[in-house]
Amino acid sequence: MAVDITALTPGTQLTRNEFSIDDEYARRYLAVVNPHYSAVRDWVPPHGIATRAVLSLLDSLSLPAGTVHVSQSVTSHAQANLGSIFSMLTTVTQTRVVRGYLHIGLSFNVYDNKCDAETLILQGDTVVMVPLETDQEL
Amino acid sequence: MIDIPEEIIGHTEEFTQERVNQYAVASGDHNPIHIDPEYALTTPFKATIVHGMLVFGVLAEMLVGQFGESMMRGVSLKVRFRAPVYVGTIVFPRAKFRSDSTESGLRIVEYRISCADQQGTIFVDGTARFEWV
Repeated sequence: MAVDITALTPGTQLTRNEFSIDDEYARRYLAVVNPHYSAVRDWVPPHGIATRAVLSLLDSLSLPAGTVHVSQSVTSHAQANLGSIFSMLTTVTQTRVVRGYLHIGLSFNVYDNKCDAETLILQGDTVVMVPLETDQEL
Repeated sequence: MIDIPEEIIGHTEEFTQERVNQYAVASGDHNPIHIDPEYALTTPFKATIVHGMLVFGVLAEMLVGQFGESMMRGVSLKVRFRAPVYVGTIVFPRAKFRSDSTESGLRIVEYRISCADQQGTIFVDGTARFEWV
């Protein structure tokens, strides 16, 4: 079900969503972010996980085209396993309108579900600004 | 013992449209503000801009180049995207040492991180904080 982003308020918890990271994603991501680095890595850096997490989050909100990133923070807590299914819990931290853009702050925790118990992998905070007058979806 | 330099200088990075398009495929972020010049003309930016998370990744990779696998845990990166990075821009990622202390048995090291162009326009800046056992 589509989320009405204009109705979001601080404290709102979004529906838990999931994503995975496999070898192919890691290879493509690292090749474009750091083309200078040629060694093969068997680990995904926290910014690679955060990128996937933020996209999963923004997809779940069906944000319109023209949405722009304002700020980002990422704290890594544990090593992530390639091939894991990650789940995210997200809370809205702020909403305000500035010059025709809705600024939405989102705080999220990413867990690795590969083991029996969930392991907190990463915490992040994202602020995006969303154009209020658009009819094109991402 | 981890070496803590006063300054970390990343690779000079050019964000061509081709690279931005590749990032869109790799990340799955196909927002037309990044990849469609005609659409971008209809926005306040008037031209395609680089994904914020691509610039973020470039800064983080500079730190991976310095600190390697110790980036996997106990690192906190905070950045603000201060100005749009237009496609075609060349940026210079940098980190400047800020502090080195001990708290509760952990070594805490902080850097100021930034991406600027040759004219000194800062597009992204923030902090990197490492907590090492």
